Amino acid sequence: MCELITLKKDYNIKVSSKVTNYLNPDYIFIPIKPGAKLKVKHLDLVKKEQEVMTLANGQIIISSISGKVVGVKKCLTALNKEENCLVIENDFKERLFKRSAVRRDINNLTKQQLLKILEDKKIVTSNNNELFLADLLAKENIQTLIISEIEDEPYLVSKEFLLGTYPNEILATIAFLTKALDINDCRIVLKDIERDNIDKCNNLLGTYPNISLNLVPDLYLLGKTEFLLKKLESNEESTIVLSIYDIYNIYNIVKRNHYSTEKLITITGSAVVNPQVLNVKIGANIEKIIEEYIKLEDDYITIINGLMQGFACDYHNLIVTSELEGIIFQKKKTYYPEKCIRCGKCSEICPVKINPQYLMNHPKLLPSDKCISCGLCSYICPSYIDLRSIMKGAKNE
Amino acid sequence: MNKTYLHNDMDYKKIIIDYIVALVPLIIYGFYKNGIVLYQNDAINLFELFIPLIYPCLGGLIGYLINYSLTKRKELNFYLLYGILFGMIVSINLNIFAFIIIGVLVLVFFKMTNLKINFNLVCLMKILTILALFVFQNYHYQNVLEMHNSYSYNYFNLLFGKGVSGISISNTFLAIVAYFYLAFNPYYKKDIPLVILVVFSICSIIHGAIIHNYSPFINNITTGTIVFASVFIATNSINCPYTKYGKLIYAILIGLITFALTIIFNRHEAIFIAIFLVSIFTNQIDNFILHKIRQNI
Repeated sequence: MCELITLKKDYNIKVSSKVTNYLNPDYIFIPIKPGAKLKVKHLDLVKKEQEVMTLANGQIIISSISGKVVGVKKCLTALNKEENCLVIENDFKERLFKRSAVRRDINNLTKQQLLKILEDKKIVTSNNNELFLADLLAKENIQTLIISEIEDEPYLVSKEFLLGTYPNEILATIAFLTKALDINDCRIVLKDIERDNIDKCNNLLGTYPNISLNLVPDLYLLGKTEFLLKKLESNEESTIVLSIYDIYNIYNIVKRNHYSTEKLITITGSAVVNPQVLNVKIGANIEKIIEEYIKLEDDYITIINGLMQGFACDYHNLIVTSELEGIIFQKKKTYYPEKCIRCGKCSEICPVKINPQYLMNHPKLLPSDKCISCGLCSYICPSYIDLRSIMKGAKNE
Repeated sequence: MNKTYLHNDMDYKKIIIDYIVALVPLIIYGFYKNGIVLYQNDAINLFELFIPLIYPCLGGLIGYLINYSLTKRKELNFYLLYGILFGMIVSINLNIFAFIIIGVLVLVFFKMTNLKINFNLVCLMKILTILALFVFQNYHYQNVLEMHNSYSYNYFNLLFGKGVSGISISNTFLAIVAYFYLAFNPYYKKDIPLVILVVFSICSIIHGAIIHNYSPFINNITTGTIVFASVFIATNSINCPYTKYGKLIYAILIGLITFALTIIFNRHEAIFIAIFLVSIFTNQIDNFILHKIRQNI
């Protein structure tokens, strides 16, 4: 494995330690993905957590508010796609589709019962929309459970805040999971720079002897399962890696008996006067949130989901989906790409060992299938060549 | 667009600045040797005192202005560095107009034609200068004092820059110090100078053992040209391979050709011709290595 690096960060950009709630949007927008089956019609009344569509893979999509279906509108999602979205007008009554009681005794649930609950709710993992949590946890001979709270992208702290806000709930869910799945080795992986979360976990871990903390250095790409497993020298066959979002989803589904209808997103960057983490309804329009809570300086660029792997866009049409991690408003800076100086750093740093310099000069070999679009080649290039775009087939201008 | 909006601290401008910083002591030494000392001995006039400074500065200015006029970009660029290097390696006796004409012609021609062939521009300018000196002027590197006096320097004196060479490149010691400074820059290809010098030294020592005379080898090394060219010119990133083995082949070839040409012509400028010749095949060397060792591309 190539040596992972720590990215350069501006430590002056700090988010507020308090989470701001934005839970009463006027409308929510639910992307209608290709092959999705709609379960509601125009002007239908929907309740919170009511199923509004089923995706082609069987995943259930619910409404995060109660209200009325008022139409369809094109919106931008965090996957950089303009999609038709179902528009639901909020009645601000939060009427639940199904009133269900909290499960008090989850510690006695067996593996089969747990898998049945997850299977019924059709919850997918946070890293892979095609993989159902029930399928992942059904794996036999699991010896190690790794809970990753690592966010690769600089300045995005939603995962950190999720653990910081709900440490008791998350640790209790992990403990229940280890018991249900009969796992003895369970580790929560945190970056060693996250002092607050380390302290919080250490204070609570005495109650959970099966759970340990595993601190890793602040290296880019450890948020990706394959690199994390290599770093921890864990056996891929007998290890399951879950993100902190998966744990929180399991907590909601199994313990609270509810779907997750809210999402933590980070709004930060050098052009934001008051960077903060917001707890918002899934499907809410970002424009309203920015208008209400965020003060911006002039002349900025909006980047969705991180400076390394994200994309720039106009946020006015953007909606909150489960893939949205954060929005970064950066002061505009102009870089002039120069001719390649053949330093070879791009191929040296590439974590999947491709050679961007060679590929750039042989456009017939592009786009590269092996490229994971991590952006390290562009980050390291002294000539400011946008290698990440070129590797994905963009023309070298 | 899948751009990346975060960038490493190091960029080409910082690389150029690093090179220029490393060159400053050598330029100052050149000013001392070919300016101040001569002026103190009343060998030159006040204008000529500044010639060792004028050439590198003029070269840098030519390079910068050519790039600016053709691209309209105000940032530092490699043409400025090429100009400075060219101003440092020429003979103190070179006519300033010949210097300007060669510099402008080569840089403008290369910039405008945007040739696909990769070669070392500084070496090309140097070779053209040698040819110009051959045709129009008396070809030598001695300054006025060195022409009219004979000195008996030991190798230690030569190492510290007393020898006869280009305007600002006679001081081998400062070039070595500059090498260690540049070696801290992660973008500097530090293996290349080492391999060139090791290959050249090994060949020269074997040759010395055969002819029972090591002084030509020690002279070549201490005169400064070979060390300077290895440290600053052969490592010009644009004109040398970037693959690990490519760099090795490139440096070995330069070392061997330099040795062969030095034996044939007995001139320490042989390294410029060697670098120029090998740099033409930079792309081929890299492609050969990439395909040969089946590195993922």
